[in-house]
Amino acid sequence: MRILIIEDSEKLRRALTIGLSSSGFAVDAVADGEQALAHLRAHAYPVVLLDLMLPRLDGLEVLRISRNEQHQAAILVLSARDSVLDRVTAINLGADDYLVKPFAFDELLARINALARRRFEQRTPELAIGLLTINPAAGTAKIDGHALALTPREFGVLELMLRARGRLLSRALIFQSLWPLNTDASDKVVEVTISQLRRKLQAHGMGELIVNRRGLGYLIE
Amino acid sequence: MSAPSANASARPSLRRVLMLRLLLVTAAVALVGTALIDVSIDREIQRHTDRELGAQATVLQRLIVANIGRADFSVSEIAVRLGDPARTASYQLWNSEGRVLARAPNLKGADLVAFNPAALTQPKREYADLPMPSGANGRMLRYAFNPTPPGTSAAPVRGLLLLAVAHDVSDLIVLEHRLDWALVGTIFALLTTVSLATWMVLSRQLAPLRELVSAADKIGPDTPAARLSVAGLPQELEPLVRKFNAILQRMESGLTRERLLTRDLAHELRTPLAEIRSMIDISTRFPNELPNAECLEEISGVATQMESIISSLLLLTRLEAGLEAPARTRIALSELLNDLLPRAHLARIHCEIAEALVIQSDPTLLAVVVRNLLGNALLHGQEGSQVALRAVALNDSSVQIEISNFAVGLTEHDLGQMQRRFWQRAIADDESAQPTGGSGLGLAVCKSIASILGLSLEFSLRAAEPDQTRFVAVLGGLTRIA
Repeated sequence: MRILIIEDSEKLRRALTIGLSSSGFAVDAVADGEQALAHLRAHAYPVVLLDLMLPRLDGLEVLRISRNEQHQAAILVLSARDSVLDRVTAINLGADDYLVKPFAFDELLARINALARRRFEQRTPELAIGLLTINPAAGTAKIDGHALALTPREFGVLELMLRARGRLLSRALIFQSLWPLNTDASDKVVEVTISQLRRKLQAHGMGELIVNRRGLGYLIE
Repeated sequence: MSAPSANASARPSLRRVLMLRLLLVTAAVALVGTALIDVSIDREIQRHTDRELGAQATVLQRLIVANIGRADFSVSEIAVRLGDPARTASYQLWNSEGRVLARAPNLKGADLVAFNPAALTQPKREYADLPMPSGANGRMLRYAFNPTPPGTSAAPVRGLLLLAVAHDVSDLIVLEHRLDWALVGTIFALLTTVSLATWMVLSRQLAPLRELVSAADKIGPDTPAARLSVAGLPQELEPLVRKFNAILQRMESGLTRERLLTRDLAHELRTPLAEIRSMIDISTRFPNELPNAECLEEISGVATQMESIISSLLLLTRLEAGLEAPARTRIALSELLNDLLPRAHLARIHCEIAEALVIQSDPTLLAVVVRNLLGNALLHGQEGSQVALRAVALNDSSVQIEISNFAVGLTEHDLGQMQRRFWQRAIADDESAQPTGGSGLGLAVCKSIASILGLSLEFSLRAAEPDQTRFVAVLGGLTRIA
């Protein structure tokens, strides 16, 4: 899943980028409101982390404009402002959640996953098909109770395909959803990742889980 | 505002004290006045009685003197003339041997008073109170006289005579007692009236005080801007209320400063705290991505920034609270400025400081301003570019310090924003730019110090070389002395 971090603190931006990337998210990060709007207009982010005190364009203004422009991203506000008025204002302007700084990374991760579940209309924290179960919040995957060792990127692909179960996902779409904008890799990396994922699933007898429709994309039926 | 303390009832009430004192004064004045009136009345009555006694005694004496030479004169006939039984006058006449020559019939043979030979030697008339033989209160005049008329050759046959004339004054004493009671009643009536009038007047006059207390009760933490109204107050209370309002104003300012400090601190420390916590969380969770050593180095930088924020904010709060009073002294400007130049950046600083400039200012506070401005110029100017420091005399009495640097991306809009607390220009579009590590409070501190020192601090952008702009900070109004 692709996430946009809008945060002017360079250190926090970097720490969150490392943490979320390592947790399997594709992370783009910007430091001001104008860049944030440009990214929101160019890409469909499922989840956005938004600081309120931003240079050039205030976070609340970014929120207002993005909702006026009908961007569907779930927006989680990260702010040092802790008054009830600030929270109410942000939520009334279209924020989906509000987290006051400082926060625990685990809580942030949990809230991002909760937002993702809501966005994909998923009620339970786990995604399952047959003997395979994955828990995006915990970052774990199991087949018949046995842990499946996946890289963050492999986990991201599996999670994305399970969330879009029954829908064909093109290679480009998977790449856009899971790799950051500033990556040097091409979308061929998706094939490599899926190939590695299939091998790991095969070891547990689920090698046929991901179906490849040549020239069209991949799906889990 | 606050509940009355437990010993409030032990403290004197203004109304009670005023009433008590007024009553005491009134009572004292009334008593003294009444006593004077009583004494005056008593004296007047006595004088009147004594005059009457004197007149009667004189008549009696003249009768005796006029008739004493007559062979047929009998003192007892005087009784017919003076001894009016309806009147209360009584008399008695003695010769020098103490034999009674005459006695008023109303004495019924009793002595009016005992014979006193010493009275024969008294040259003056003697008045005295005495009990009448009837038991009533009386007033007596007694004196001795020579019955022989002056110039009479014939020697008087009876020698000196002693005459005592007395009146029954019981009715006058009763009258005096009535007057005394009337005066006492008047005093009580007066005191009662004064008490009521004082109570009413004080209640009315103290009403503004009660209203002030009521208004003051409504001033609390939720209404720090509330003040007491001086409208309709007596002029004696107005200065007190104005002073009270001034204290409230100072308290409100202090409270506002405290709230601002708390809010600013809470807000500005949350982001660095979030940085520290996130870095620790992520370094612990993903040590390969964010090694602990790198994390600690980053945290150290954040801690330095937090320290800078707190120090600057505390200084700013002290300045705004008026706790940093300037200590002006004579300063050789070139010495001060040269001492302030950062040794690590000497090559980047171009100085133009007139040697002979001497000013009057607070060297410590001035140093904070110059150090901040220089630090900002070095930090925000183009990397490696020159920072200019000029100190020039505008005239015989005024000096200004000018610090300028090449402005990178600064706009006129930024100039208006930069004195705000915690304002830091975005560096997001410049990937090569490094975080400043500043608190965003430096210029706000400079502005406050300039204000305390009575100086002006202006920021402007000046076109320099083609496509280049310089940011200029001018600290003006420094007082030049000889």
